[in-house]
Amino acid sequence: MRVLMLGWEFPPYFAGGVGVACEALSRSLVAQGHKLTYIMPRGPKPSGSQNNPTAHMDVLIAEHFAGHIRFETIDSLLSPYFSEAAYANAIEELSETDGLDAGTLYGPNLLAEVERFAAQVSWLVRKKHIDFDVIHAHDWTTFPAGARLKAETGKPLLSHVHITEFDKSGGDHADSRVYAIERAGMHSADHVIAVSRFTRQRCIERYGCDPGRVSVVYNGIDARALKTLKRKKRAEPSPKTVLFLGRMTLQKGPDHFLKAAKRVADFNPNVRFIMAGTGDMLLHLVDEAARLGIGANVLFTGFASRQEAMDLYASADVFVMPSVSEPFGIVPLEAMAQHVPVIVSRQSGVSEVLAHALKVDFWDVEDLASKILSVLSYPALSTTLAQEGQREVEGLTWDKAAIATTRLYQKVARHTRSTQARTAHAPAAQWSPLC
Amino acid sequence: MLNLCFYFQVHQPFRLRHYKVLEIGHNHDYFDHEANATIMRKVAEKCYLPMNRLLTDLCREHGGAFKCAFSISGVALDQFEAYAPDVLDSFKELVGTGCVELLAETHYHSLSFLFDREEFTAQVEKHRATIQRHFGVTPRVFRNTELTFNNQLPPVLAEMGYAGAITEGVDRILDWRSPNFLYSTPLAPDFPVLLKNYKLSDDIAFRFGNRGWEAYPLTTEKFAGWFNKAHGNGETINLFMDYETFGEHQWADTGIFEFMRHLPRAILAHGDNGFATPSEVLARCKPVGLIDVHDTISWADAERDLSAWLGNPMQDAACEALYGLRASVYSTADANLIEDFRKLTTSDHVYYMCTKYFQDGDVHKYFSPYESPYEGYIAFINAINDLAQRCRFRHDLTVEARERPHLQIVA
Repeated sequence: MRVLMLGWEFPPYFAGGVGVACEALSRSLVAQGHKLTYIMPRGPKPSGSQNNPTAHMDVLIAEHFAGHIRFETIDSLLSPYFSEAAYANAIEELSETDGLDAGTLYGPNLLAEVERFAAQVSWLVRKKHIDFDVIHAHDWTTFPAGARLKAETGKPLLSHVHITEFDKSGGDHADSRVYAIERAGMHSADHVIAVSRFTRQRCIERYGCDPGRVSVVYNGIDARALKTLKRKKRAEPSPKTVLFLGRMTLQKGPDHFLKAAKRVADFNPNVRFIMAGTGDMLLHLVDEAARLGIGANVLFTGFASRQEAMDLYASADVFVMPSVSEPFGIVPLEAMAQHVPVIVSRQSGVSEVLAHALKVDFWDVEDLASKILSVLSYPALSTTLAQEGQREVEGLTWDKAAIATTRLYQKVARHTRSTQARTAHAPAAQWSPLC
Repeated sequence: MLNLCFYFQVHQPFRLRHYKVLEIGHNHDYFDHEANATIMRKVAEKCYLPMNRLLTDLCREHGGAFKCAFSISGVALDQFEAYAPDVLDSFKELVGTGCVELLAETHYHSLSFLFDREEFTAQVEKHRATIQRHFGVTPRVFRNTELTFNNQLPPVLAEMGYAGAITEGVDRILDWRSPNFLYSTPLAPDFPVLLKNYKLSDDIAFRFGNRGWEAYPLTTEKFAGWFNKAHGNGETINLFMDYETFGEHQWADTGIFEFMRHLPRAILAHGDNGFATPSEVLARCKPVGLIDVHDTISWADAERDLSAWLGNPMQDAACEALYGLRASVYSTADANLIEDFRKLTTSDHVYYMCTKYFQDGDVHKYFSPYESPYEGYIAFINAINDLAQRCRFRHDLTVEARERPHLQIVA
């Protein structure tokens, strides 16, 4: 099938869960015989950056996708995890460094930029005469583009929900404008893909989706992450290490991790905690670690590149993902692939697919601390978790996700064909004028 | 004459609560009293009470022609006393019909035979005393936990004075032979062993309510027909199963109670059929050959070996830690400590740690109070660690008391 995918840039240039998912899913869809046109927003090259994102993408195209996938980019400052404030910061930063008014090139605010992106996509599709059978859009910032294309071409739309505003806000302080766009994107879709039962439930309860039109397609794990690292010989005597790797935001529960660390350190002062990642809570967390008297036990390592993440897994005795609200959560799978026992919160989609992981409620600091200590104390437990866990993740492939996605493509395409057959005498959908 | 020998297993473990690392040294209560009481009440209402009523009626109606045997673990009896005295009374009434034989086992439903013979003998002795206390009878036939069995067991049982034992009729042990006869084992050629006919047992215990089964629905006539086929090629068909089959594994709405109510009549319709207890089978039949059970067998899973209880690193470490602690536990002579230790020997605790079939969506294959085998291990090994700490503490006190005699120890 010919798929028009509205996705995100791939790692390492863009390192976020949705980028990883878009790349891996596309790879498997192509392997299963689909032709993809992949449209994504691309920001200006960060000043001083050594990376050349275009070169990186070109290599990918040449290596893996030759002939089966066509990349199109649209200049935009969009990022799937942006809040209004973060977007304003990006605009300001860009204006300062490049000495121009970025607000005139890009949308003056996030919502305007989302609309501008939708119009650009529509224009690009017409200009390049891109033809396709189905539209597949990833998360809210591309939903208006997807909905617009559907209206203009009559082609079926799949809205893929990787994260919702409720997850990002870590509670009920959702931005009502973002919520409205998410809702419209889900409702204009022929079918909604949720990354977990957890997320599907949210789509139904919070966004009023028809349960019959929301399906769960679990993420997989990238085959490359399954290549086990040669574990570095650890410097002796090295302390037992507990790893947190993720954004330092309310959603990811780093504060609960820190509270559990305190309980663990009270019990065993020789345990080391590594907190890798950046985010708006970072400074607060550093202060908090000092206030709790465990400043010496907790290492904040900042943002971890892919290679750095692999090194961190190699040094970890247990990986913890205490997320408050996690639609899926790919990181624990990477840790498991690297033979690391994991503890995940039950408030995560990934906990639905994992049997060989310990599970806690994110708020139950006592239980989390106890389980961390159990894994660190009992070799039989950590060995079994690591062995069975590594075996388990090998079965969680993106090919399975692609097969499930293909089924949904066929379903919406069939439905659209039969609808169009019934209304065959009606005039075909008209292109809207250029904007 | 073809005998039908029923044996029902009654067992409830003292389940552990989610005992946490951080509680070690502070809290010595390992057991989930609430869950144990709730489960006992639930099973009592769904299974024990209605089925005891039904069997008691059957024993009376058939005037001694219907018989069966029970093995009731000591920890189940202890929980009847604590949570369901009405169930204990109804078992007493059932045994009082004179048609029921009670079997011997380890009081704590443990795998102690595999790890510690002294502990094994002590637990069997305790069970014998418990059965004597409640029912006024002394068991003559032995069944080991989960029908675990190997060549080493019969000589020990013969030495202890038992008349016979029961175990699983495992294909790889029997080869071409039928389980419907008595056998004996190489190290005790005079000690008879009854073997479970797993085909006919599982037709009732596992397949009865399965609508996808080609023989569904199973009627008493159909079952009696299968039973009668063994005439001329068997002396005893041993139907061994969990008592919780009735009303708990097979719900009442499958018709399992009605099936059992009418089964005796269907079996006895053939003049050459009769019900017998294990002791009666031993009196009527003689071993026809030797079975060689080098590796331990059991009645669990398709493998019918120990792999549900032992084999993964957690299960092995748990047993090693548990039995490794025995000497220090007993050296304290502290009754509470010893009782806690012994409750931890119940085989269910290691069964919950089994990872054999554990995958997401398949978790119910192994009935367990835990979310995962890992949780089962954590609760268990934490309790063991606390127990070890209590032993050390008692030991230190004892040493101190010897050195400073004025220090009083409160037992």
